Parts: sequence; structure tokens; C-alpha cells
Amino acid sequence: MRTKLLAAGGALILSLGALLSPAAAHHSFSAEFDGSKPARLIGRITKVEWTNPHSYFYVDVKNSRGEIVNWACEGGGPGALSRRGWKKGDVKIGDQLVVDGYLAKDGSHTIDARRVTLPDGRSIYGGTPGDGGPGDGDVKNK
Amino acid sequence: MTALLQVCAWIHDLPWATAIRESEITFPALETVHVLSLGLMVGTIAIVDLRLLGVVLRHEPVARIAAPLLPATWIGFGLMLSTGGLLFAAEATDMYANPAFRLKLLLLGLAGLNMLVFHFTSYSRRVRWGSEVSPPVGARIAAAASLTLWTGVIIMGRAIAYFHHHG
Amino acid sequence: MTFPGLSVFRWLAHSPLNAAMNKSVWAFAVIEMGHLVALAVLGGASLVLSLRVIGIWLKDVEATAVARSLRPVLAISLGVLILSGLLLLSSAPLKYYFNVAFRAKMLLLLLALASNLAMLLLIDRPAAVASKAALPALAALSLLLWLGVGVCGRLIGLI
Repeated sequence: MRTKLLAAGGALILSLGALLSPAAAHHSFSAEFDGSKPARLIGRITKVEWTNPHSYFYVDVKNSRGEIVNWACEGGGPGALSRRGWKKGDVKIGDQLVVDGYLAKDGSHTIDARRVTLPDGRSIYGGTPGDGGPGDGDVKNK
Repeated sequence: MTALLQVCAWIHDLPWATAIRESEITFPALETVHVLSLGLMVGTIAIVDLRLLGVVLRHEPVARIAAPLLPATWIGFGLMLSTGGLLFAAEATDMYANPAFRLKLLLLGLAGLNMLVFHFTSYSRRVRWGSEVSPPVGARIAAAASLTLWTGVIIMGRAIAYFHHHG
Repeated sequence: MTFPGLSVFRWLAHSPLNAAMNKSVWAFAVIEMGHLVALAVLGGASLVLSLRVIGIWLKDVEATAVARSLRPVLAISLGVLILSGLLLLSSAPLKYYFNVAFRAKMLLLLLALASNLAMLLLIDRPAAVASKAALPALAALSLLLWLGVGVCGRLIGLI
């Protein structure tokens, strides 16, 4: 009887968790980004956040109407990027970045940086390891 | 900017906090210790709560179960507080605005308060009821509240990641 | 040596469960939270059991009685961990299949289960010759293995 009560209590608490998980949940690729909306952005870096748990690169991109729009590109943390050869000083404000990724589901100007072409020509897998997005788990994306 | 946000911003910009935020190994390591210390702190608390609710070891006096586990709980708490403090500092401005983090702190405070109240009321009278299979109502309520609040802390802790802001 | 079960993981990747886990915006988050709560409970229960076996905690209570009392807690928390783990896995089976930390976690999980099972069996046979020396060692080993499972679980999202 007691264990049943505890189990019920547990279920109640988990529902609380469900209620509080917002529509834009991170930390599972499919929760934040749309795998059916691939995109390529080419733009100049305006800001670099070389941070845990995610890195962010902000680029000014010219849209189809010729207007400049600032996009946020989400990448893995410093550890993950560094293991793929992308060190903190490799990109600076003003550098051009080519970002291939998938658009955020919420329509904001956010893209997950699955593949980034750096100014020096190197092409780096930028995704957060284990996020379940396309290419995640591929040997060549380690 | 409120005073609290200013303090958070100052902490956020401290050299060592920045170093943790931009680290390759330190941040992930701190996070790992933080999460795994749960087993030590909340785990031992849960065993005592389960005894109070009559679910485990109901024929053993409560004090004989709880007292020897206290050091383990305190060690776990020390680990969680220290790693938590460092992780907070690294993301102080984000945490200021993060509703899950605020709720986590609130639940944490309530969990601590619950334990304090229990300790100075019901538990102080354990000589009378410690060997009972079913402790008094006050003790059982405290135990149920403890399990609920700590579960809430864990859930909110995980939810922090879903409210991260950038920009 | 290849990690077994590629065909099963492939099948899971194309299952309705996979589709459902990916369609839902909150499923992964909530299930993972359940995974963490169960982790805390299993941590506590296995810690106190090992402490009893090693002789640090509740010394004047029969180890068999302690084990018997804790078994339901161990079983339920482990059950929740495995069930939630399977659901989390189903969201992207191949990603986990190729993840080194996941593989290590599964290996350590098997070893932890074996170690804990051996310990529980020996506890109920106090007269067995092996018990006196083997039990405390198994208790310590079990804890270390659970710790390893936990660490590898965390590393899945980092490597």
C-alpha cells in the first residue's frame, strides 16, 4: 500500500516536470531544431560566446530582401569543439563563417551549427555530441 | 539593473568564473560530480524518509538508521554545495534570469527548512516513538514532504538547461 | 569486437516508439528527469546495503534482514532506470549505439548487476565459505561499478 502511494506521488511529481517543460525544450536536437529544415548561413561574426554548456556564434546574414539579420548559431561546448580541432582563438569578430545546420522550431533566428566552415577553410562538425541530430554518432563527426 | 543582478553580473565576470565557463574539462567535470553526488545526499535522505514512512527497515529504531548516515549526507551536501556554487558562478547572469534555477533554490530552501523543523520537533522526541513501525503523523508528513521536495529539486535542476538564455 | 545488437538498434530506430519520442517536445525531458530521480534512490539504497555488508552501518541487524528490506527499493528504482533508459535510447538508437560512453555504460551496467546479484545471493548464505572474504569485496565493487555507470551516463552527452 505504501509503495503504491509512493509510486503515485512519484508520478505526480513527474507530471509537474512535464507541465514545466517549455515548448522550446533544449537538449534533445529534435526538441529545439527541425530536422526537415536544413539551411546554410553565410555571414560575418558579430559575437562569440565560447561557453559551456553550448557555444554561440552570432553572424550577420543578408536575407533575400537584402536586409542584414543577426543569427545565433549554437554549437557544442569548448571541450567538444576543441577535440575536433576548433580552438577558442580560431575565429574573431568580423570573420566570415559558413554555417550548415537546421533551423530552430520556434521560428527565432537560431540555427544549430552542425557543420561550420572556418575562415581558414577548415570544415568542422559543430554539433553538440549526443544531441541526436543528423550526423551525430557518425565516425567522421567525432 | 537590480542590485542582485549586479552582484550576479560581477560574479559572472570574475576571472575564475569565466575560466570555468570557457573550460574544456572543468565545467563538465564539476557538473558530473554535482549530478552523481545526488546519490549520496538525496539517496541517504531518502532511506531515512522511507523508514519514517514505514517502507523499509520498519523494525529498526529510527535513530539507529539515521544517525550513522548523517556523515554521508553531509559529505554529499558539501559536494553538491561546492560544485553547485562553482557552476552557479560560471553562469551567474543566466541563473539570475532562469526560472527553473530560482524554483530549485526555493525548493532547496524548503527542503532544508523541513529537515530543521523535523529535527527540532518530532525527531527530538524520538525516544518515545523511534522504535515504532509507524512514527507519529508529524514525522510521516515531514518524510513525505522531504521526498517530494528533493524530487522537485532534482527535476528543477535538470530543467535549468531548458531555460538557458543566449543573446 | 563489435558491439552487439546493431540490427536491434536499427529496428528500434525505425519503430513507432522512436517516432513518438521524437514527435513529443517534452517526452525526453520528463523521462530523463525520472531517470535522475531513480538514480538518486538507487544510489542511496545500494550505498546503505554495501555499508551494512562492509560492516559500517546497522551492524547489529542481520544482513539478510537489511537486504530483504531494501530489495523492493532496489528493484523498483532499478526498474525505473531501465525502463526510462530504454525510452531515452529509443529516441535515437543509432546515436547511442555508436557512442563509446554508452557502450562503456552498458558493459559496466552488466557488471554492476552481476556484482550486486552475487552479493545478494551470498548474503543469504552466511555459512558459505566464500562469504566472509568475498562479501565486503563485492559490496565495494558494486558501489564502484554503479559509480562507473553514472559517470559514463554523464559522458554520453559530452564526448
